[in-house]
Amino acid sequence: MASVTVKLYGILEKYNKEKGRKVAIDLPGDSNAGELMSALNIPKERVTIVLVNGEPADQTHSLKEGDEVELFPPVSGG
Amino acid sequence: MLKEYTGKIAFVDLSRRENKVIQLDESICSDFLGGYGIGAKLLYDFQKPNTDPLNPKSMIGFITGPLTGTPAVTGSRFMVVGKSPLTRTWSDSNCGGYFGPTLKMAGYDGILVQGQADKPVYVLVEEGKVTINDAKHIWGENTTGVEKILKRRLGSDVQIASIGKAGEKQVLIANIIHDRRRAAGRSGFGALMGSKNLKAIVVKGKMAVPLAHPEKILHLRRKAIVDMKKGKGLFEAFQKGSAAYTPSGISTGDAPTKNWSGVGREDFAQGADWSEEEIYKYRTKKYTCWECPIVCGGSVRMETEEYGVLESHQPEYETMAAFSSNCLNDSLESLIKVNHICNDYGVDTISAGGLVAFIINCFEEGFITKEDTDGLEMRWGNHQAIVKMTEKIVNREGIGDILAGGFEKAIKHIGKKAEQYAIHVRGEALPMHDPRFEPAMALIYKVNASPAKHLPASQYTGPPGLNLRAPQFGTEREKQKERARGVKILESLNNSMSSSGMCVRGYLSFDVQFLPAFLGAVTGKDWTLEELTQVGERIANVRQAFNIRDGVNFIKEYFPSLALGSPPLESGPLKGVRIDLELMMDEYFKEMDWDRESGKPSRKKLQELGLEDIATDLYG
Repeated sequence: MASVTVKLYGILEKYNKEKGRKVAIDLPGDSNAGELMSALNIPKERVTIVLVNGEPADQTHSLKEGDEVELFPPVSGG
Repeated sequence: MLKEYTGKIAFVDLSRRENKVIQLDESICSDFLGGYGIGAKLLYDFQKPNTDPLNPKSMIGFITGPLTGTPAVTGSRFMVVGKSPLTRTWSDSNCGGYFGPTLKMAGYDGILVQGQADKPVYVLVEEGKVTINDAKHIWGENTTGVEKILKRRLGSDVQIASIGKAGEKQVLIANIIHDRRRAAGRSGFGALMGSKNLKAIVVKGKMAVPLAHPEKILHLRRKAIVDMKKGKGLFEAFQKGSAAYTPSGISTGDAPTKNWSGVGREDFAQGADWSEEEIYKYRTKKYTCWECPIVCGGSVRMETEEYGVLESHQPEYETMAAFSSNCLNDSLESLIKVNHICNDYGVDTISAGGLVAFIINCFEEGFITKEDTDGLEMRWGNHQAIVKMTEKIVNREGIGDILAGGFEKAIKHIGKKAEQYAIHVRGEALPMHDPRFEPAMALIYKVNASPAKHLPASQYTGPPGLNLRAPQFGTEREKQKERARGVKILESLNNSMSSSGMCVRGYLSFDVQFLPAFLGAVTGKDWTLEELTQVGERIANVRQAFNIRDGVNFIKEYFPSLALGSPPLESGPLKGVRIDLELMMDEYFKEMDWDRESGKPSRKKLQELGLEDIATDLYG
C-alpha cells in the first residue's frame, strides 16, 4: 500500500470527490501514475503533464509512499 | 462572388478627408480568406515599402473574415493590420466582441485608413455610408469614457474600437480597445491610430449578411456545440476563463517567474496554490462575444480600501502572469487594478507587465534608484509600486515616458547592462509562455512575421481531430526538432482559421473539420483542410514578404538568452533545459522553403503559392 497526495489542476479538479485541488489516496503497492489516474476516474487523455515530487514524470512512473503527484490538463492560458 | 462577403473595403484618407470603396474580387477572397490574410495582401500592394509606421502615409486596417457575423461558432473576430510602431515589422492583432459582426452588417468586409487628420476625428461606418467626424468631445477621454459618450450620441447599438489617452500620446505599447474590455492588444496599433489623430472607428448596421446555405450552417452550429461539449478540446477550460490556468502555469513553469529568472513553484509558491475561488473572488458575472457559447469573459466588482469601488473586468491569464508571477506580486486586487488601467488607457497588458518586471529587475540590481523612479520602490512584489509604475507608463510620466518608448529606448537610457533583463523581440515583450516549457514557442516568438506572439501556431495543442504527428511536449533535442517541423502546419491552419474570423478558442474546442465545413456553408465554396493549409501558407508568405521587402531580418537579431535556458534554471521542473533555437530554425526554414540566412521565401515557393508579383519584387 502507498499513500500519496494528489493535486489536480484546472478542469481536473472536478475529479476530486473532496472539494478543492488536493486529495489523498491509498494505492496498491507498485502502482504507477497511470493507475493513479484510473483510480481517480480521470481519463488519461485529459492529462498532459505529470509531476511527481516536482519532477517531470509520465504515466508509467512508479509511485511510492509519501509521493506528491500533480496532474495538469492541456495548456489553456491566453 | 463568394457569399457572405460584402466585397467592399472602405478606404479612408484622413489627410484629404475622403473615402472610397476598394472592391474585393473572388480570387482575393479565395486566396486569402479575410482578416490578416486579405489585410497582408492589401497592405503589401498599397503601402509603399519602408513606410515609417507613424508617418501619415502608413495604413491601418480593420478586417473581418467570412465567418464574422455568421452563425459559425465563434465567428466574431476582426483583425487590425499594419506596420507596428513598436517592432517596425508587419503586424496583426486579433479582437473579438461585437465590432467585427457589426462592421459586416454596416456593409463592409473591412476598413483601411491612411493619412493624418489635421485634428482629432472618428470614422463612422453606418449602413453602407462612411463619414469622418470631429472627435474633440472625446479626445482626452479614456476608452470607457469614449464608449459612454459615443453611445449616448450615436445610439446604444453602435460598436466602437477606440484608443485611450495612451494611444493619443503614442505610447508604443498602446492598443485598441473595443467595448471596454476586448483588445486588439499587441503591436502598438493604438499609437498608430494616435499618430493619425484617429480616436475611434464606430460601426452601426443591421444589413443582412447573405449566407450560401443558411440551414446547413445552423445545423453545423448545433453539431459543433455538441462536439465542443464532448471534451476532446479545450471548451471546458475556456469556459472557466483563462485566469484559471494561472496556478497550472506557475507550477509547471510555463508562466515566467521573476522576470524569467525564477522558478514559479519555489519563488512564487503562493500563486501556484491559488484556488479558483480566490482567482474569481470578485467576479460578478460572465460575458461573451457575439453569439459565442463559450462565454469566457468575466466582469468584476471590487471594493477595497486601497482602490475604492472598482467595476471592471476579470484579467486574462497573460495579464495575471505578467503582473503576478513575473513580478512576484501576489496581490490579486492589484492585478484587477492594473488590468483596468491598461484597458481604460488602452495599453497592452503583456507589454506593460514585461516592462514593469524589467524595471523591477533593474532596480533590484542597482542600475536605477528611487531618484530615477520618482520615489517608487520598485521591488519584487511591491504591488503599490507596480500599479503606480503602470500609471506612469500609460501617462508618459517620469521614467514612464522612457518605458513608453519600449525596451530599446529603456536600454538606451539605463545602459547596455540592462539588456540581459529585457525579455523581448524587437521591442515586443515575450508573452507568458516559456519556451523552456514548450520549445516551439521560441521559434514562433523569433521568426513569425509579427514577433513575440503566443498564438500564431496554437502550438501547445493542435485542434481536435488534427493528426499532427509531432510529439507532445518534451524538451529533448529530437523532440525540439520534430515540434519545430510541426509548426508549419499549425501556423498555416491558424492563419486560415484566424483570417476566416473564427476565434482560436472555438478552433481548439471542436473538431478541426468544422472549419472547412463552416466556410463551405457560409461562402458556397467547398473547402478542404488541405486547401486551407495552403491558404494559410500563402498568408504566411505574404506577411514574410512584407518584412523582407522592408529589409527586416529576425534571424541574426537579439533573442533573450534567459528564455532559451542560457543559463539554465538550477531547480524546478524546467531545471537544466536548454533550447536549441538554431536547430529549430533549421527545421522550420527547410519546411517553409525560406532562406536560412535571410528568411526570404524561395522564388519557387512564391510561384507555387501563386505569388508571382511578390516573386518579381523580391527576385527581379
